[in-house]
Formats: sequence, C-alpha cells, structure tokens
Amino acid sequence: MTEGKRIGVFLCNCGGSLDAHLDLKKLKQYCQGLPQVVYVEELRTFCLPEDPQKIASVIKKENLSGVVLAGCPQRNSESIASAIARESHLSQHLISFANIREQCAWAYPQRETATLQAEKMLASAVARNIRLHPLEEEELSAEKSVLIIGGGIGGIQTALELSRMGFGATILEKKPHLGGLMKGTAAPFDSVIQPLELISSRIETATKDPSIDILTSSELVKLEGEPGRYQAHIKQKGKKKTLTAGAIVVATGYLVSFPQERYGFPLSQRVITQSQLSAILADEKKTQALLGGAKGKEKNIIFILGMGGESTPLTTAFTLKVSSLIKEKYNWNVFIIYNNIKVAGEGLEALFRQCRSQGIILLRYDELRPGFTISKEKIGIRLGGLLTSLEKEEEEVTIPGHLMVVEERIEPESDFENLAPLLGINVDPQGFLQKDNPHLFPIATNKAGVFVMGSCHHPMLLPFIMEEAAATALHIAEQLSEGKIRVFKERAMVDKGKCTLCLTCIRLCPHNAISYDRAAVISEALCQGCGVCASECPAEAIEIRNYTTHQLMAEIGVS
Amino acid sequence: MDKSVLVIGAGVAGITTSLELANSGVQVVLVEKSPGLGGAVASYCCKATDQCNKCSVCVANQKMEELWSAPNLSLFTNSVIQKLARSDGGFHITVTHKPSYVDDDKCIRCQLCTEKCPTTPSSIFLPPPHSSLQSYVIDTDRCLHFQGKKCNLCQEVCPAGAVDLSQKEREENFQVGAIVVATGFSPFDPTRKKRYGYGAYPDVITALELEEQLRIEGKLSRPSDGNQPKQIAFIQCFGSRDAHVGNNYCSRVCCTYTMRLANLLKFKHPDSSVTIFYMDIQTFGKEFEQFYQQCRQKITFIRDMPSLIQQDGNNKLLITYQDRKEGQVVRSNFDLAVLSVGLCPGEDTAKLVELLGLQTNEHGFFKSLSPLQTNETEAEGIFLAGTCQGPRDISESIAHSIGAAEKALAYLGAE
Repeated sequence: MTEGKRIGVFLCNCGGSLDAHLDLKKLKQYCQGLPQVVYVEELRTFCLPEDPQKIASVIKKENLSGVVLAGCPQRNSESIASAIARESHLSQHLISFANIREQCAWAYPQRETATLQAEKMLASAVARNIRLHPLEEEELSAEKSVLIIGGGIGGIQTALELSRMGFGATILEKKPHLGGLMKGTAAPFDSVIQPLELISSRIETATKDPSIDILTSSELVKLEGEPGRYQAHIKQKGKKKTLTAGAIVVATGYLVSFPQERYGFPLSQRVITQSQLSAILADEKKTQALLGGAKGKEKNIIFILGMGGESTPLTTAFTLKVSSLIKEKYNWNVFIIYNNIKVAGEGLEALFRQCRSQGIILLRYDELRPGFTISKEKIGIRLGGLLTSLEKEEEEVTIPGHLMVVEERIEPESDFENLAPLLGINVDPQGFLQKDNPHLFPIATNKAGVFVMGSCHHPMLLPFIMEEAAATALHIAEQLSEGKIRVFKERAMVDKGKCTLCLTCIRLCPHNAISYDRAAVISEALCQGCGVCASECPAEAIEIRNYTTHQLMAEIGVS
Repeated sequence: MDKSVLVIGAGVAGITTSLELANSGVQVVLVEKSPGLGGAVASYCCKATDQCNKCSVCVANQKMEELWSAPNLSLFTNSVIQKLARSDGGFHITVTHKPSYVDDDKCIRCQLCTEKCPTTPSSIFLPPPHSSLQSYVIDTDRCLHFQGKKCNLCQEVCPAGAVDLSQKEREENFQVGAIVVATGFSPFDPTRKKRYGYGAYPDVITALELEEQLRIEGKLSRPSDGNQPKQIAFIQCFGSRDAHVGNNYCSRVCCTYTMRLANLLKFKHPDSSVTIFYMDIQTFGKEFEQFYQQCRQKITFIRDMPSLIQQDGNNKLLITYQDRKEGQVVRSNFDLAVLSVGLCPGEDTAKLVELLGLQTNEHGFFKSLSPLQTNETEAEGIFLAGTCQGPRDISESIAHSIGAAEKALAYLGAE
C-alpha cells in the first residue's frame, strides 16, 4: 500500500495573511522533497468555492491518490474536504490535514521557527497520508419494525407516532393489559383531557392499528444482534417467541413506594398514600364512602409533601389538582404541608395560586420537620414558625386532621436491575435507565439502536412524555429510513490471529458492541469508533480503521 | 406541495429542528434576525467543576457546529420575515436580509479589519463569544464610513474581499410547505424591579451577564472595581412566580442554572461565600435532587425574597431580608448580587403572532394546540419548538424541537 501513491499537497495562504508568518515558498520546496509527493501548489484561500474546485480538477488531471490540505484546523477544513471529495471522486478518507495556521503561523512569533514547525507538520501529514486507505460507505439492511418495552402512555404514543411514519411496532407489556401507571391516575390532568379517557382512547387507536402488535403478559428474556436487526427473545405466558426489530425503545415507567422510615409511622385507615387516594377517586362509590358527607364533622384532609425526600412536580401537580377538587366538590378543609412547592410545570404556579384563593391552607415547613401524633380517632400535626415566622419549638401549632395523604417516593422499577444488563444499557446512580450524560439526552443510550423515553429515565410530567415520544419516533425513522442503517466507517477491527480472548475489550466497551466467538467480535453497527478497545487491547489485536498503530506511528515519525 | 420548511430562529431549538429536518431530506430555510447563531445558549458558560455538571451547554454548541456541514440547508442570518402569505397549501415568504457588510462565506477571520479600523474600539469586530460560528459585524453608529466620512479601510485591507460597505438591504422570496417557530425567550427585564437596584448599582448583575462573563473571561470580577467578589448573593424567582409583574408562572430553569453557577463559583473560589435567596427550590429531571443536596453542603440557602438592595459607602451592597430563624429583618453586606432572571416571551412574539395568525397563551408565550400537543398550533402547517412555547431547559428544548421536526415531517408527508 505504501508503494506508488501519488500525493498532492495544497498550501493555503489564508487570503494572503500567512505570508508574513510562514515562508510558503520554502514549504513548497520542502514538500516537493517528501516521499511520494508528486504535486505541490500554494493557493490563496481554501474557503472560497474556487479553490476546492481547482483542487478537484488537479486531482483528476494529475491522477492523485492522496491529498494533504495545509492551512486551517481539521474542524474548519472538513467541509472543504467533503466538497473536494464530491467533485473529484477521491475518497474523503484519503484527504488529510496539516494545521499550519493555528499551530504554526499563529503560534510562533518568528517566521523561521514557524516555518520549521510547519515542515514537521507537513512531513507527518504526508507520512500518514501515504498509509491511509479509502473507506467505503457501508450500509446494512435494517428491519423497519421497532420493539417497544412498556405499554403505558409513553410506549403507546411512541408506537402511534412510529406507525404514522410507516414503521411497524410491537408493544411488550408485562401486565395482562395496557395502560401502565395512567390507568391508576384519577387526577384530572387539565380541564380538557382526563387521563383515563386519554389512555383509553390511545389504547383503542393502538389496538385497531394494523401496524402495531400488542403482546401483553410478556417479558424480554434475551436480546441479541445489533441495530437494524435485533433479535428479541420474549416469554409470553410461559411460551417463548423471537422477534426481529430494527430498534428498541424502553418506555417502562417507575415505581412508587411509601418511605415509612422517613415518616416514622405506618399507613392506616387515616393515613393513605397518593396512589391509594388516586385509586379511590377513580371509583365513584369508594370516593363517596371516603369523602361523602357520612362522617359528619370529620372534614380535615391533610396532604404532606417533601417528607420522604424532595417532592416532584408530578406529586405536587397531583396534590394541587386533587385538593382543588376535594375542596370544591366535597367541601372538606384542605391543608397542604410542604417544604418546597414544585411548580416547575406548565400551569402549576397558576394552580398553586388558585388553590390558595379557593381557601386551601398551604403551610410551609423548613429545616424543622413537622411532628405527628396519630391515633385511630384523629391526627395531629405540629408545625413550628407559623405565627411569628419564628422557627422555634415553643411557637408550635397543631393542625387537627381526619385523613392524611402522604407522598410516595418515585423510584426506578425493580426489574431495571435485570433489564439494563439485558439491553446492554447503563443506569444512573439512582437506578433509573440511561446514564446521566448530557450527550445522550434526551433519549439516546450508550447502545446504538436502544432508546429510552418517558419516566423510566427520570420522572416527568405528561406533556414532556408526549414530546419525547415524537422525538423517539423521529430518531428511529432517521436511522432506519429506507430499511438501511449506516455503519460507522472509522470503527474498530479485530485481528483474530492476535486475539488471546482476554476479554478486556468486552469489559471496557462503553457501547456493549463486543462479543466473542473464538476471538473478539465487534459488531459493525454497534461500534461507535471511540477507540477504547484499541488502546487497551494488551495483544494489540484491535485497531481503528485509518487510526492504526502503523499509521499513527508513521505520523509521529516513529517507523 | 413543497417539501421544505421555514425555521424561524437559530437558537438551540431552531438549530435542532433544522438539523433533524435537513437530515431527513427536507429543504430547510433557517432565518435568524441577529448576525450570529446560537441564540441565548451562545453566551452560556460550561458549568463543569472537577466533574461535568450536566448543564448541556456543550451539546448545544455541538449542534451549532453540526449545522455547518448539514445538507439541504439555507441559512439567512441578519434577516427578518417581512411578509407571509398562504398559497397552494404552503406559504409564500418574503425575508428581508439586512446588510451585514461582511460576507461570512468569504470571511476567513484573519482579524485584519479589526486591527486596521481607525476607531477605538474597532467598529468592525467579531462579537463575543469568540467562536468560529460568529460573523464579523460593523457597528454603524461608530463606523466612520456610516458617519459620512470617507473611510473604507476595512474593505481595502480585507484579503478575501469579504467586506462590502455598499451593501443594501435585499429581499428574498421563497415557498415553503411548513413553518417551525423557534424564536426562544427574552430574559426578564431587570430594570422593572427597581428595588433590586439593577442599573443603579454596577454590582447588581443578571445571571445571564454572569454566564457571559464566565464564558468569555473564565473568571468572575466585580463590575465596579474589577476585584474578585468574596460574598455573592443569588436572588431567585426574579421576574418569575411574581403576580406583580404579571408573570404567574415558574421559569423552571433558574434553580438549576443558579445552583450550577453557584457550585462553579464555589469551586473556582473556595474562599468565597455564596448565598441563594429563594422561595421554593424546583428540582426535577435527572439527578437534580442529589445535586441540590450536595449544594446545600457548601452554599447558604436563605428562604426569603429580599425586599431591597442598596449600596453602602464602602462600595458594598446591602441586602435587606427577613431572617426566619431569628424572626428579624436583617441587612447583610454582599460584594455581588446576581439576579436569576426568569424566562419571558420572546420580544418578537407579538409581531410573529400577527404575521403567522397564531395566538399567545395567558403568559404571552405562543399558544399550543393543547397541553399535550405542545408542538402543534391552531394554524395548519405551523409548529412550535423550544422556549417560545414555554420555559424549558436545554435538553427539554432539544426533545421538543425534535418533536417539532417530526410533526412538520408528518404534516408534509400527509399532504
């Protein structure tokens, strides 16, 4: 490969501004003496459209098989390189860069030193270029179907969006029916849409949609393959099934739990959780039994927020909506006791103010936590700092209550522990899916072709779930459009002869792209070309295409 | 029907929408009124300490870089939408391109023009933040040429022929199938709350000014004397959750950015003390609660909104607030007060609402079709992306913008 390359070097004068800092004539001469360089030219400005065109025509005329662009950093020149590649049909991977402007001309005050440095940069760029290979555009066939794990509102909405874009979707739900957490939510989301109606109508549309398959009572047991053709092994009521999917969407929700140790008392007839209240409110009879006039004077309901850790906009929204409803419809005295009221959601601040004007009593506690006395007959909550805004114990006030609604903690689902390794994706320190890395937000994961959306990566309000559903569908459509998937060109390759199966690469790969079959096998579609495996392989069996040891050593002058 | 989309605004939302659409094979016309790209994000600083604090600013910058190599995209900076008419199921758009006098395609950023400009400071300059994404601009109020003098030095010295002082305003017309509005927000005008002394005392600054200072200079200094402030106060909910100024909503992002900034200042200057005055801390999103708990260890949180900010004779700020622990009104000295300005509707909202035939919601942001259809509007073929619809953080804006692209694509496909 190092034999008989015809390399052209093009020096950019950056509009005439480099002359003062670099001896371009000398550089031109120097380049002519470099191995396999057959053509050297100084041009005025690469950035202008004329120059790339000129370079392209020189490439054709001189039959060049490699080009070095000396001037701006690679980041600026990459678009120029792609323009040259388009015009000349020379593979873009055979164009390399020497940054003689920032790293030489602008860095050294003396023209001679700068020129000398530029010579070194040009020599290494040429040395690298001699050893570069053209990389062809590769595409793998891809299934235009998607597996969605979780049949709640997020999963269903994603399936509907995908179906609209011409993709098939299979929804996998571990429960016997669709609907997820919203099936149990009675809080009216807003005056127009009731969650129960919303989820029911979406379930109905999804069920009727011919391109959406629904598998209830089903679980994923194993995932094989790569983006474009994942093989999902599924267990449905004891029966095994295998599905092929181009991409996977995780749309499972979250768990709620009552952190008794933080409150210091158990649940009882008088102490119920938000989800218990929600379930009661969904049932007319039970609601009447709990809140209807039967109990005479017992009409104090107390909501407690922020005792089990910071509250969330989700639980706050629930509390405010339900309070407003109970006050208006059943005329109970409603108290909301909170630490930080979480109004970071559309309309929540207005709702908070509405509650206050409705006569709901909102009381705030700070570092001094409320104290509780709970008996079968009644509840007392002691709060400091209410009268004189003095946070002292002697200022305590006791609020009598008959029913108390406690806030639950939102936690990752217990099967994330199994699901995450099964899918090869990372979890954050709290155990929610997707690593806390802004470059993955909103919906990408460390593994190509696996997406997370909705409350399984952090609890979120419904409008944001709907937004993520649309975003997920579009990302999948972009990746799998036309039934093909693009492969990362500068990816890792294994020399099977050298691989000693130490499994170092498999342990280190951040994208779970490596498996083994007598030698390490790197999935073409999963590899992101990060180079971790190549740098760590003790047997030097892995190399990144066009960043091989051979090429890099030549570039830094070690041969 | 044209498979093309007009995106209005080249902040993080507009850029994300444009990239998504362009990569899906749709022709995109991206129109931005200012000379540079990036919108609000362009002046935000990275808030990493010895670890990444997930402010997402780098993600937004990365998207700006991607824009340069995107296919199917025409970018009009320094331009405003002049006219809009529905025709053949699409829109006929007239854009006025204000002269920038510097052709960004030709400009090689050699700085010669800035060096040779006879005015001090130069009237032709690269506006901060100094990134390769910004174009040179001419301040026509200072430039001798536009003051009637004969000077055209910059035009003469430019080696690339990029400066053209004779440029005139020009109009362009084109036809698109759909429109995505991504005009972002305006920060709350800090002079509206006079008791906090913004404008009167130089050491009362907004959080955006702090971000910009940290981004450009990498360090913090008091505007009044250039010293490094020792006692820094942040004041939350400045223009948010405030019925007196008509903003009956939470701006959502301020608690997050304040804590990240406070954390960064404490990291850069461990000997300084940082106090946050607040009403309620809003934690939501990934891992923010844990970040809040970490911040409580090193930052003082005072739950009270100060009533007054003054300056004493020693060039120190005096902040008056109520100490709930002691039940007394306290006046404390601070070197710097940072107002965590809220997000208000973008300044061009009213104009665009009229032009596009849209509506605003009760807070003045663009009104979406329903609370669950935040990308759609009542007008057919017009979609919303990012903070023009309501307060959002960067990652939520990105998700919302991808959603807008999806909705616009589906709309174009269905026609």
